[in-house]
Parts: sequence; structure tokens; C-alpha cells
Amino acid sequence: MPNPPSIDLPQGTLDLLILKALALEPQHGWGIAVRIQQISSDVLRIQQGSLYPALHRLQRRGWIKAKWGTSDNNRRAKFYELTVAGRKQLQTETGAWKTLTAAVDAVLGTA
Amino acid sequence: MFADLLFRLRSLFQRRVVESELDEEMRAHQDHLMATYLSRGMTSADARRELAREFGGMEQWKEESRDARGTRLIETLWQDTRYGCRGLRKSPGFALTAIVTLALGIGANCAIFTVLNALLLKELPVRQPQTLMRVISYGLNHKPNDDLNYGLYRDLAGTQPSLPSLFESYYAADDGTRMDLDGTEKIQVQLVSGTFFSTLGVTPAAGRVIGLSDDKLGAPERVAVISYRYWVRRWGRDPGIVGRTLTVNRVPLTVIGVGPAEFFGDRVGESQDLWAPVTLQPQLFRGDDYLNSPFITFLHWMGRLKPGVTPQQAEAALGVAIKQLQAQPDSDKVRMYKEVSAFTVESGGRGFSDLRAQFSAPLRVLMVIAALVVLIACANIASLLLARGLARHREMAVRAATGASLGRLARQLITENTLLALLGGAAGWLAGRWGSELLVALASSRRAPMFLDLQPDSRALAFTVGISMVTALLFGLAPALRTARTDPMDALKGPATGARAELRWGKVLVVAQFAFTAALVIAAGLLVRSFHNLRSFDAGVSREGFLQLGIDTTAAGYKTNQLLPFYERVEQAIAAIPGVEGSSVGLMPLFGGGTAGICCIGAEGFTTKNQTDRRVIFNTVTPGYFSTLGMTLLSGRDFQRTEMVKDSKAIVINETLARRLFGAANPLGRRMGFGEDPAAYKWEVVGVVKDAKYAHLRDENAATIYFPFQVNLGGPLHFLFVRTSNPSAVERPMREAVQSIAPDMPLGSAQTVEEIISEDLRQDRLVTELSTAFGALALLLSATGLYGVLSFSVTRRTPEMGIRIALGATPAAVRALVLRETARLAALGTFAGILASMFVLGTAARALDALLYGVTPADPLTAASTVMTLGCVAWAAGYWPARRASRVEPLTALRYE
Repeated sequence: MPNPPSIDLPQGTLDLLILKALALEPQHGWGIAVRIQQISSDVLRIQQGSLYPALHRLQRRGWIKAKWGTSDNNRRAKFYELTVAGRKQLQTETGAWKTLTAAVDAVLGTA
Repeated sequence: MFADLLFRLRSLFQRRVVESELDEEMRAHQDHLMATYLSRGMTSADARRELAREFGGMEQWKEESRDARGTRLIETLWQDTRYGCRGLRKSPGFALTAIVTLALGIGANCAIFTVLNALLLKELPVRQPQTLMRVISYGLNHKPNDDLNYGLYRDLAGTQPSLPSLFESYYAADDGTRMDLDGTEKIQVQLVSGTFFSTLGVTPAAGRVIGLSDDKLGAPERVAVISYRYWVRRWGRDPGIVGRTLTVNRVPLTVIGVGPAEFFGDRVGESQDLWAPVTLQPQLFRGDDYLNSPFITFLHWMGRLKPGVTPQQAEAALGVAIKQLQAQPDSDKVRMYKEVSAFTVESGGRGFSDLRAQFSAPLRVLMVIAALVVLIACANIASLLLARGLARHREMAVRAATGASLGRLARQLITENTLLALLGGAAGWLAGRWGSELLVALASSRRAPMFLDLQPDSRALAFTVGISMVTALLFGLAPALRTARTDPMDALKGPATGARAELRWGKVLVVAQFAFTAALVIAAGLLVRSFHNLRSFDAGVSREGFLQLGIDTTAAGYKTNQLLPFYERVEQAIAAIPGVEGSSVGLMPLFGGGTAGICCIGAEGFTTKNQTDRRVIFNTVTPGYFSTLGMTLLSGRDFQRTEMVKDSKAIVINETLARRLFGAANPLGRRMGFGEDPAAYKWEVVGVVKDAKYAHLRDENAATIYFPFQVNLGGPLHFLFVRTSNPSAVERPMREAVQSIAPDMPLGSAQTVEEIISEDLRQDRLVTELSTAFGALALLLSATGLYGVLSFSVTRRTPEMGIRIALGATPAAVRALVLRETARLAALGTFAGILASMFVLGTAARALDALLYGVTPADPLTAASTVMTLGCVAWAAGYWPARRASRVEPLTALRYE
């Protein structure tokens, strides 16, 4: 199976992607990885292990919280969900991202 | 923010749970991935490779997660601390030596700082002490007057009705007075105004405090407030104390309240037992009325400015008021007003204290000495650490080689040093608390028990932590610098190659130690010499052979005209005691810390613009006073019995006064008196005595007049002096003789002149002994340090010594080799130390005036004995290593290689 063309993740965007992935419903670490790949149609390539430091960082900032639950295959799994602050952060960062990309597009003359 | 804290706390305290959860999560994730890969038909080897590519290294992510949790620093610190503890436990000898050395050094500093803090820095435990202001009056000589007259205060307030709108204030006796309670005990009483407690903002622990209505003349009830400490000590917190009547100096006082627990009064260094209104002074002093006397000053004055009022406004208002009082028609009172040149309003949150002036220089000097001791202790620990670092060379090299960064290694060392310093600091803190109490006990005398609030405060804690950290930095610096240069390759080659640097550092430390020690020995030497001078110089009175007994005639109710007959009977009775060679009564105690002064003396032919030249101290004495105290009559004669009358004309003056009034002319037969009008002079000089010290041995010679013992000068307290070569045999019969004449006369304890002098020199002895002890400690530490370095050097040079001996060097020559090195190090340090301390002491000569007596900082004898002492210590430290070097067996030495 040929790999689709993929790009490395710009610095700091992983946090935003995780927040977005959790916006719909609580997910465990593996689920988040799958969701990001699904949404991006496998274009964004992340090392899946790097999710975990990011999850700890987001917990520390109080944007997500974790609780233990049971996964689809009946295995104990930690489910992460957005907090109110996290939801707000997602909006702010989404807005900031759009502004940024628009600006970069403008500079590059591709808009 | 809160979530952040919670998360970090959980990461810290449930570290293991957090780690294992993370492990479980990542494993589940990997299992998912594996399952996915296998379901795609990969071989398990391919799947594992793909997993590694997709997921990354599990350990790496764990490490990054730890960083992300934000507790990394604390975790490493904790790890380092545990590691450090383990290291210290593994070498208990090293740990114990280092901690004890530090505890001694830090403890000495803490003890002295605690006392210094309590006496010089702490604010009174009252409401907003920082806004309290002392009101100080200045005399014509522009020096602050010690105390304030009662009438002056009342008149100022009366003249300037606006004063209370500028500041609220109180006045209180500037001395706690020992008073008799119910005829059974002595208590410390301070007379205070009705505004004392309200101005200080002190709320009672029980009952109420003295108010304005209690301090009115002729108030219906005579009241008192007792202190919390006295309540606990004497009354066992008896709540029934309020309302009880205590008879103080034969005056019944009703206790209306108990002061708060932490409150000791406004005088730092004393703890009052009882406060009574100032208006009770005449009754409490048995009719000696201070309130209406324009000559007696006994109060201090403290205020709190009203909001928006500046000290300058208050000073200006007081200046206007005193000018108005001075403009009144001439009288005794107005003359007293005219002795005030100005008022100043100064911050007074630290209260009043006589001890402050007395002890501030000694405490500062002791603080510097203690700081030097801790420096020397640090040098010793640094040497120990260098040796230990050498032993751990391989460990460090291996850790460096296996990837521990230099920063990580340095952090490990710093943590260990900090741990050591904190352990030493904690021990020193305890030692210091004990030491400060000991210091206060040593500095107190029977006559003046000292009370200081030694409870640790934030300042004391900061000092201890600060000094511990500074020591950690100091003793850790050289070893850390050394370790930072660790080259793994070099270290792995063998221990001997690295030792050269340790030795060099060790020698530098020893030289520094000897320099500091030299400074300490110089200081101790100067103080010992001063103390010796103080104990032996000619003070004008003999230093042995007589007794002094205080007699308080107020309590026995003697009228003033009964005093002289009473003392005549006493002297007759005493003369009959075997072993008594003479006796006399005088007004002034010897070296009691105080003198009585009178102003405006005049004499025939004496003119001066300077009014302070007219102020003299005086004493009233019975015949035989000069011979009893061993004072030398330079010319003229002693008083005669017939001159002990009220209108006596005879006076005796001392040589300082004679020189001031009459220059080189013969003073005998010259007339003297008060004021500038020779017609009013009615005294005649009948004798001149040599200058004698009265208040303190250290005092300058003061111009003094001796009057015949008569009743219209001075107070109710007198002193009986008895000359005898056998004081212990005379004391009992002497007391019995007094009591047979006046059975209910309260007598102080009889003191020999030796006891009186040693009491007066208590502070000097304390400073001398402490600095000597610190000097000895410094010598011990330096000797240990030198011994350590020399032993190390000899061990390292064993092969060399072996070869020398094999080639024919005599043991004496080898010994000399080591001793020469010893001498070089010690001499370098000693001379550097002596030069530096001469320089420092020379610039601080003014501050040292209070401590030194009859010796200058550049004292050659002290310098010479310092060189001798340090030389002996160096020789003793070098002897054993030298002996060991001279006994090296050539064969052993070669095997050593």
C-alpha cells in the first residue's frame, strides 16, 4: 500500500489538532491518533508517541481532563475530554490559525 | 492556574501511579497498532519495525512527558537529595565532622545575631511600632538630654494646647525601679503616664490598663497593672489577681489588669513586673518628690504623630512652646527650661534602651569575629570535600563518560553541599538558640538582670538560612571548580595524576585559614591586653580591702534629720568589730553606673563662657571616706566630725576640678559656691584628692566635689564602706551591727570591692572570653586543616621521600623538608592576616574605642605573640606528618608506586 504524500507537523500545531480531535467526543490516546489521521486524510504525519507528552501538557494547562473508561475492545483506557477552558482555547487557537494561514497565503500570493 | 497546581501536585506525590498509567496507556496504544499491522498481513518482524517508525521510542516519550508535567526540576532535586543523603550515610565520619564544624560556626553566628537582633533591630511588640516617635530634648551643648523633667512636660502641654492635635504621646520613667513588694520580694516597677498603654496600643490580657483618670493627682484609687510574665511567674496565672491589693514600697496598690503576653514595656533589655501611674511617684519614693522638683529628670517621652503631621511640624510646635516657657520671669524652673535648646522627633519603634549604647560595639565586633570563624570552618570543610572529591574521582569520571552532563554532575554536587549546609544550619540554629540564652545570662549581672526577647523571628530565620547558603557556596566553590575540570580520560588513568590540583587548592585554603586565624588571635590578644589593663590601672581607689553595703533608709521610715545620728551610731558599732580598719558613709556607690551631677559651680577667679565647665559631679561623705576607699589626699585634709552639719563650709575637690578652677595655683582655702557672684561663695576648699573613677572604670576623670555628709543633698540611698583585710569575717557582724540599731532597715548585700569591679567589667570579660574562645576554635580548625593538607602531601610524596632516604637523606633532613613547607604556608597566612587586620583595625579605631583600653590596634606585643601562637600551632600540626615522612621505608615507598 503506497503511502500518501505526507508533511511534518509545524511546531505547536499538535496541541491544536488534539483539541480539535476531542471537540466531538471524549477519546483515548489511540483514538485521537486515528482521528487526526482520518481527518487529515493521512497527510499530516505525526509520531504517535508524541501525543502523550502533548496530552500531559494540555492537562497541566487545564484544557483537557482524563478519566478511566473502557475501550471498544473492553480494555481499560484513559479517555480525554475538553474542559470548558479547553473549548474556549480551541476557538481562540482556531481563529488565530485562520488569521495566520490567511496572512501567509496573502504573502505567498496564493489566495 | 488551579488545575495546573493540582496536576503538578498529583504528578509529584503520585509519581509512580502517573508513570505506570502512562506506561499502560502507551502499551495499549502500541497493541492497537500491532493488531492493525498484523491484520494488514504484515509479518510480526515488519510490524515491529513499522511500530517503531510510527510510534517512536517509548522511553523517549516518557521522558518528554515528564518534562511536560512541569515537575521535572523538583523530581531531579528530590532524586539528588536522596542520592546525597545516601552518600553522606555512606561516609558518616565525613558527614559528622562537616556538620559539627558547621554547627559550631553557624551556631556562634546565630547566637550573636539573635542577641544583636533582640537588642538592636527588633521593634517593640505593640501596635504599629514603625509609627512610634521618640521626643528627644537637646541640651545647650547640642547633645541629647537623657531624660525629661516632669514639670517641663506638663508645662509644654499647658503652653501649647495644639500639641495633642499633632500627636498623641505618653511619658514614662526612664528606669525600671526595684521596689519592695509586701516586704517579701523585690519587683521591677516602671512609672507611666495615663496615656502609656493607649498610645502604645496595648490591650490587656485581663482587666483594664491604666487610663488618664488613674494618673490624676489625688485619684481616688491607687492602681497598678502587672506584666504577663510576672503574672505567670509569681501568681501562676491566677485570674483573681485583678482587684487584689499589692503593697509596693508601703503603698497599697489595686491591680486593675494584666498586660499582654509579649509586652515587656518600652525599655529593651528590661522586663517590667508592674506599672503604676507617675503621679504616685512621691508616695512610692517615700516623700522624695520628683514631680515638683525642677532639677530632677527621670522621664522619657514617646509619641505617635496624627495622620498627615510631619515630624518637622511637631518639632516646630515644641520649639515655639519651649521659647514661650523660657521667656517667663527668672526662676529655678525657667533656668531648667533654658537648658533645653531644641526638640527632635525621631523614630522610636525600637523603644528605649541603655544597653544598646553599651553593647552595640561589642556585639558588632563579636559578629565580625563569629563570621571569621565560620569562614575558617568553611575552609576546613572545603579541604574535606576536596579529599572526598578525589576519592570520588572515578565515580564522577564514569558518570561523565556514560553521558551525565557536566551540569548534571555540578547540580549533584551543589545539592549535596546544600544538604550539608542545611543540616549544619539546622544544628547551628539549635545551638544558636541555646547560645543566645547563655550570652544573655553571661551579660546579665546580679545588679542588672538583662531581659531580651530572644524568640526567633523572620529576620533570625532569614539570617540562618542565608548564612547556611553562603557557607554552602563558600565551601563548595573550590571543590566544584575542581570537579568541573574533570577530564574523564584523565581520571580513569588513576587517582594520583589528579591530586596535584587538590593539593594546590588545599594549600590556598590553609593560607587563607591562617590569615583569618591571625586576625582573630590579634583581636583576642588586644582584648585580653585591654582587660588586663582595666584590671590593673590606677583608678584612684584601691582595688582590694574594703566592703560596700547599700542601705535604703526610705523603707525604714527615717526622717532626714535622723540620718546623721543613725550613721554615727552605725560607724561606732562597726569600729568595734575586730578586723575593721576604718569605715565611712557616702552617697555614691562605687562603679554603680551612675553619678549625681550639679550645675553652675563658681569659684574665686574662675571665669568661663562654657556653662558645661560649671557642671560637676558630687558626692557627700563622712570623715574617713578617702582613707577607707584608699584614695590619696594630694594636699589639705579630710573632713572632721564637727563639719557634718547643715551649714558646713568645708569641701574637698578632686585634682581635675582643682586644675579647671584654679590652674596651677594652690586651691586650699579658696572659696567656691553656685553661680557667678563671688559674694555668694561660702564654701572653702580644705583638701584636694586624686581623681577617682566612680560610675565605671572606663570613665574619663570627671570634675568632682565632695561635700560633708549632710541631709539636704542627694536621695535616701546610701552606701557604707568598711575597710578590712578580712571581708568574709567582717560581713556578718557588720550587718548585725546595722540591724541591732535599725531592725527593720532593708539592707542590700555587702560586696567586696573585688566583686564590684568584676561586676563592672562583666561586659569586658564577656567580650574577652568569647573572642578568646573563638580564637581558640579558629586555631583548632586551622591546625586540623593544615594537618590534613600536610598528611595528604606526605602520602602523595611517599615515593619521593623513599628515594631521598634511599639516596642517603637523614630522617632529620626529610623532617625539615616537611616542616619547611609547613612554615612557608603558615607564615604566608599569618603575615597576610596580621597586615590585613592591622589595616582594618586601624581604620575602625573609633569603633574599637569602646572595647580597647590602654592599647592601640598596632600593638607590637600582640602582633608578636600572635606570630608565636600561630607558629606553635603550625609546628604542632606539621610534626606528625613530618615524622611520618622521615620514617618512610624506601622499600615500602617503591612498592607504593
